[in-house]
Amino acid sequence: MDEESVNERGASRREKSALSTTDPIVLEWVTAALGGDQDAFAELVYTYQDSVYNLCYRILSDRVEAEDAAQEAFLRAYLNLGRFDAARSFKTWLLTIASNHCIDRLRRRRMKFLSIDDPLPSLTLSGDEPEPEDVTIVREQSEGIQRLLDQIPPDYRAAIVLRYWYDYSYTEIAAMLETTESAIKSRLFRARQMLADLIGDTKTIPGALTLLMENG
Amino acid sequence: MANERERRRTQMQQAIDDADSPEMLSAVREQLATDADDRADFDRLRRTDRMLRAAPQEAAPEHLALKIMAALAQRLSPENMRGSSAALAIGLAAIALLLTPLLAVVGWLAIAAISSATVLGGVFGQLTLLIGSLMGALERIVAGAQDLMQASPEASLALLGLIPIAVLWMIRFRWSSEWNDDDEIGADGG
Repeated sequence: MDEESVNERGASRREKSALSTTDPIVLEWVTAALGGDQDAFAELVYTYQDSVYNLCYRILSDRVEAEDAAQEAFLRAYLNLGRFDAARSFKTWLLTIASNHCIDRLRRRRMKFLSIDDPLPSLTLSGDEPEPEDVTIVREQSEGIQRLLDQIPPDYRAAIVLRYWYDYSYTEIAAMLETTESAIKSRLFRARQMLADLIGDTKTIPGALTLLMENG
Repeated sequence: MANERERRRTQMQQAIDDADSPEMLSAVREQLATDADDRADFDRLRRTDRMLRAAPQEAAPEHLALKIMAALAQRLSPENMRGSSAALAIGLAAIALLLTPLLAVVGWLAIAAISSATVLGGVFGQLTLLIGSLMGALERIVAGAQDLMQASPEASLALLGLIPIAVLWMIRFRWSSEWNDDDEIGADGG
């Protein structure tokens, strides 16, 4: 429990406080979109596309499917804008739609999970063209983490993604995934333990991931 | 023993999430200071935590927003509305098909009634009675409205004013039903 880890958590809390309210401009866009203004909805799409896409990619592990899922999440949001409670965060509402849709997709896909005793698959870069070194490192880190996430069950993965990429609390994640806080704690702890075991047991962790673990 | 280890692991996990009470936190600190295995476990969890905290965010492809807006425009396009009209026409045709046997039975009964003077007289008698009672009801409604108009003209004007509001409300209700029927979300979220 060193000072550094306490500081990390403090930074997270500061980010989190910004998540619980909806920006007045966003509320204006929502109201205009409700009145049929598609340009206002386009503003919402531009603002939140990265967050929604990242969530879909982290849960589905497939870029093409993540695009489809993100598109579907936005369409569902548009068609159900009337149900959005302006007192809550629009981003949270949108991510709830996206995460539930992705989990449904995964369940339909009936994925066969790899055993956690299996070694990690080797990393493959998605393009053959040379990239700048820092871009390559970030891509390796991103894909390396994704390979690890692929090996935990969908419900655990969703909890981990909402916790680490969006900094939601146990309570918020429970509300988003329609379950109890204790179930979320259990999923998070098991998922983190599984990931720690995967990292600890394998000798093929890429250097880029080691960098993340050491430097944070 | 296994339960005890599990309990300690849970406490360590909570410490990583900053969810331990101060008492629990000092208990974890003591445990880590004395138990090398637990310290190794904790270090592994903390490294995992650090890796996840620093994980890169994937940016959406450049064309995604355009793709979404195009899909939205397509879903709201007149072609899709035409699709709904076609569905309505098919539904009406199905209802007409189902009603055909019923209409045949009613027609047969009417022909049978016309062929018998007694039955025909009875049917006309019943019809006359029905029309008479409907006229009586209408007269009573008109008389009631006239009384209300004389007693308080404001109330009757307010009632007349409610008619367009009710019509608007029904139109809005129909629209919102169409949206909601089109797609349901898994969770309310908001």
